[in-house]
Amino acid sequence: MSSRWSIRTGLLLALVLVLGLTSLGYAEPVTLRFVSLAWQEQSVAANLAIVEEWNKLNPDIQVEYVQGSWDSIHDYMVTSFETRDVPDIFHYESAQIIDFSQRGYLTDLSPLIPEEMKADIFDGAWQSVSNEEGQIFGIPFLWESLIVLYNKDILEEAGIELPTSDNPWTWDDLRRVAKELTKDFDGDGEIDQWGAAIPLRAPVNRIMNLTLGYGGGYFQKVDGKHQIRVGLAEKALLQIIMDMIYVDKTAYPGAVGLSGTAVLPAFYEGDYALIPGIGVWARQQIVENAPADFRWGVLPPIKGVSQAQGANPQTLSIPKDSKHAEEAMEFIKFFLTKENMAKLALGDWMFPTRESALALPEFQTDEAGWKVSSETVQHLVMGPWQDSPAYAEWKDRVATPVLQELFSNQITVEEAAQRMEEEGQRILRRYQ
Amino acid sequence: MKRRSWLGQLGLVLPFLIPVVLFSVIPLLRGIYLGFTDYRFGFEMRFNGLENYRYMLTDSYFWSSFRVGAIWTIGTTLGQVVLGLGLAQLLNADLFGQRLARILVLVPWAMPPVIRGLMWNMVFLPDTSGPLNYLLMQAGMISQPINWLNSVAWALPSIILVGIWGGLPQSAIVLLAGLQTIPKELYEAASLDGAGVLGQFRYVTLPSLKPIITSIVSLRFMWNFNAFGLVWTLTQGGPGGRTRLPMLFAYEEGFRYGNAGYAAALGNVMVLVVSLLVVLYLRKELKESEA
Repeated sequence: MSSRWSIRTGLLLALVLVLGLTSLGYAEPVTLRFVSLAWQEQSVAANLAIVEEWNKLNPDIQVEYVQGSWDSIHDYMVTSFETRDVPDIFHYESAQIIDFSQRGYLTDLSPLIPEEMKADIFDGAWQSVSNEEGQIFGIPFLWESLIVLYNKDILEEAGIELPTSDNPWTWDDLRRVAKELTKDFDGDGEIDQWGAAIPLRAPVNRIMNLTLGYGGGYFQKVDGKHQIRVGLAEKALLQIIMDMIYVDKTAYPGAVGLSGTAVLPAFYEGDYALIPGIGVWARQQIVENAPADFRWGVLPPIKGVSQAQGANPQTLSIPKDSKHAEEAMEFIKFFLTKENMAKLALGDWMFPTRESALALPEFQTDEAGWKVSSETVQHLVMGPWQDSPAYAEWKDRVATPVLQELFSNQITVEEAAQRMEEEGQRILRRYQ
Repeated sequence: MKRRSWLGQLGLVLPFLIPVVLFSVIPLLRGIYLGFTDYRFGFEMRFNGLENYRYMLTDSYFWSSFRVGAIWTIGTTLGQVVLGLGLAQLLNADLFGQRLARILVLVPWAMPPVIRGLMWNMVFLPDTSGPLNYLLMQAGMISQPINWLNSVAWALPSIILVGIWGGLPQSAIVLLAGLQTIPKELYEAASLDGAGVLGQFRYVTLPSLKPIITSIVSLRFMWNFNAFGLVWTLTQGGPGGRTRLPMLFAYEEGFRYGNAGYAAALGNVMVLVVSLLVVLYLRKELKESEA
C-alpha cells in the first residue's frame, strides 16, 4: 500500500516540477499553425518554400504548415471556432470571412496592417473583407475574374473584328457575333459549330458576378436590412442568355449541364467559337491539356452597362481565439510581400491583389492571355450579397434550383425572378 | 446487508458508467436541449421553447427533404429485404461455388459508405466513359449518355440503387442464417401435401422467416433513414435538393448556415419519427405473430 502511494506522490512531484520549470524558465519559441488551401502542385510548392524560408529566418516564431482542402475547410473552421482550438492563420475566401466576422470569430486586422500593404492592395479587394465600421477581417491576396475565351482560327476565318479592353463587346454584340459563328456545314439541319457555350451547371456564382455589369445585384440594403430584388437589370441578363440558347440557338444547349472544366474539351475540337464568362484559371487547363496546334485567346469581359464583376478574393485571416495574433500578422506580412504574392498567384493562375505585383512582367505578357486577363482587375468590386448572412442558404435552396430549372427551359425568366424574390424574402427573415 | 451488496454492485459498474455518461448521455441531453434554443454559431444561446418546431411546420425545404427521405428509406429497405431474400435463397440452394459466393456477397458490406460512394461515382460518370452509360448504350437501351447523378429524374433512383447494393449483403446473410434454421422435414411434409416451389415458399419459408424479416426490416429502416456518407459523396443532396435526405438537410443547417439550434431540433424530430414508426411496425408484427 505505502509503496504505491510513494510512487504516485513521486510522479506528481515530478510533474509539478517540470511544469513549474517550463513556465518559469525558458521562453518557449512560439508555434503558429497555418492552414493553407493551396492544392495545385505549383502553388503548394510555393507555399511550402515561403514557410520554410520564414522558419529559417525566425527561430522564435515557427510556422507549422497544415494542408487544408476547399471541400472541408468550412466544417473544419466552424468546428475549430466552436471548440476554440483554432489555427493561428487560415486561408479562405472573402464571402465566408464576412460571415465568420459577424459571428465574432475573427480578429480585426485593421490596426495591424502596415500602411504600405494597405495602399498597395486594390480597394476592390479590401472592400470585400471589411465591414461598415472599417474593421478588416482578412488580407485578400489572390483573386480572379470571368473572361471570354475564343478560338482564334474560327474568328479569323469569319473575319470578326476583335474587341479591346477600351472597346469591349456588349451582350448585344456577343449575341450578333454568336449568330454569325453558328454554322451547319453539311446542311443536315444539325448545328456543327456553335457561336458560344456558357457553362451553367453551377450557375449562381457566375450569374451573380456577371449581373453586376448589368447594374443588378439581387441583394440590396434598405435601412440597414438586406432585401432581395430581381428587377429589370437581373432579368435582362437571364433573358439574353435564354434567348441565345433557345431562341437564336447560337449557344450550345448542352453546356447548361456542364461545369467550366467540362466545357473545355469540345472547345479544343472547335465545337464552339466562344466561351463567355469563364474563370481565368481555365487558361491553365488549356495550356496543359489542349492539342499543341490549338490557337486560342482571351477577350475582355462582356459589357452590360459596365464591365463590373463580383470579386471573391482568397484571404488569410486570424481567429479571435489565436493567442499569437501579432506574430501571425508578422508572418502574413512576410508571406504576402510583392514577390511572394506574385509566386502564389502564378502557381494558381490567378491575380495578385497587390498593384505592384500585378504590374510585374509575368502578368503583363501576351502569352496565355495574361495581359487582357490582368486588365479585368479594375472591374472587380464587392457584390452586395457578400455581407448578407442569408446568402449561403438562399444560394443553395433557392437560386441554384431555380436557375437550373430556368436554364433547362422549364420555367420562364419571369417565374424564376418571382420565385427567387419570394422564397428569398422568407429566408432573409430568418436571419434578421 | 442488502444495501451493501447494492453499493458493491454499483462500485463494479461505475467505471463503465462514467464514460457512457460523459461521452454519450451528457452530449445527448445537451443535443436535445439545443433543439429548444435559438443557438446560431457565434451568437448567444437563448431558450426559445417550441419556436424551432413552429418554423419547421412552415419550412417547405424541410418537408420536401422529408419526402425525399421517405422515398429513399422505403425504396432501399424494400429493395434490400426483397432482393436479400432472393439472394439468400440462391445461396442456400446447393449450387456450385456456393462457399465462394457466400464470401463474395459480403464484399459491399466490408466497404465503408464513402468508398462505396466514390466507386459508384465512377460507375455513374456522365459521358460515355462511365461504365453504366457505356453498357446501356452498347446494349442499345439508351441512345444518349445520361448524367445520372445530376439529372432531376435519375438522381434519386440512382442513389437508391447504390443504397440497395450496399445494404443487400447484410440482409442476405441474416436471412440466409434464418433459412438454414428451417427444418427440411417441413418442406418434405409440404411437398407430400402437394405444395409446389411457390407453395413451399409461401407456406413454409415465409412464415418461418417472419421474425427475422421483422427484425431486419426495422433495423434496415433505421439505418437507411439515417444514411449520410454514401449520399453525401454521391450527390451532396443535389441536383436542386432532389436527393437531400433529412440528415443532409440537418447537416446543412448546422454546418453550412450555422443554425445549430434548428439543426438539433431537426435531429429531435427525426429520432421521434423513426422511433414512432419502428414501434408501430413492431407492435403490429408482434400482434400478428401472437394471433
